[in-house]
Amino acid sequence: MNTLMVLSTAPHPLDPGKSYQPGAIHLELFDTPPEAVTECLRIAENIRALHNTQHFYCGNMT
Amino acid sequence: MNTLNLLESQLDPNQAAINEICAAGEPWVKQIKRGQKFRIVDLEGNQAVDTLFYNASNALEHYSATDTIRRQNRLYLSAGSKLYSNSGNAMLTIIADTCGQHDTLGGACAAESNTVRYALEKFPMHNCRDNFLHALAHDPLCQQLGMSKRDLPSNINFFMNVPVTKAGGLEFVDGLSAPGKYVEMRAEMDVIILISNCPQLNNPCNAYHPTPIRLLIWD
Repeated sequence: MNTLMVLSTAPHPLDPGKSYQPGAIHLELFDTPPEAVTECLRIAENIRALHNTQHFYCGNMT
Repeated sequence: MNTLNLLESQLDPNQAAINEICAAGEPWVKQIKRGQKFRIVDLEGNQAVDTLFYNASNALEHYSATDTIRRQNRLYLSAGSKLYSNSGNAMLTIIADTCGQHDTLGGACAAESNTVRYALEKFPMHNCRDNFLHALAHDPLCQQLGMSKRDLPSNINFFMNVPVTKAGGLEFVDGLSAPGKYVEMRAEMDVIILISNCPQLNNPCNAYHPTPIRLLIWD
């Protein structure tokens, strides 16, 4: 579904490091390849979850 | 597997200020004051008790599973555990526990999660999220605080056994609890208790047979 993503690169509170060293990350956005969808659908829970998402969009998933 | 952390209580049920039964599959709401002690008794054994706590004067402060796990470096709850809020305050301390281990990873069952985990036709089945929503909408204590479905963070599942495998998998398995086992905690602030006595029938968290629980409060 259309999703708002929020990221934070602050170091994790359980990081045992002695110094505070936040690092940069690189972000890329791709269209989902069909084989990734096929892989996802190997799990029965995922098939039912995607059915629920289709239901949310009344079958009009674009 | 670590050894279970068992600790019995010296409190006498006959001296309790409140002694109530919550029927199988039902919600329950109560306010307790700082210093009061609160016990949940698993009357018939293996009954998951989905539980949330809120600051009694400000529901924006509530139980936080992530803070509770992170601050104590422990995945499971038992005697000695503090239950932390999203503001970093200790809301309650577990002071006695004859079960030995309680879950705070598994979350509450919901109509939605039942469709995903089990089958699409499971949507109408009675579930903890609906119990929570009903209480938030209709219980006078929840209404006074203006609570709604936005006030549903991740919960505790008292008496529920959700072992984490070495590979990081979660399993919902038959419980460690048994008839008469209890968990008891002391309130460190005035809190609202919101319980769903879990009605789940699709996995062994209630041994496929939801049962009543007893709730006691001492001054």
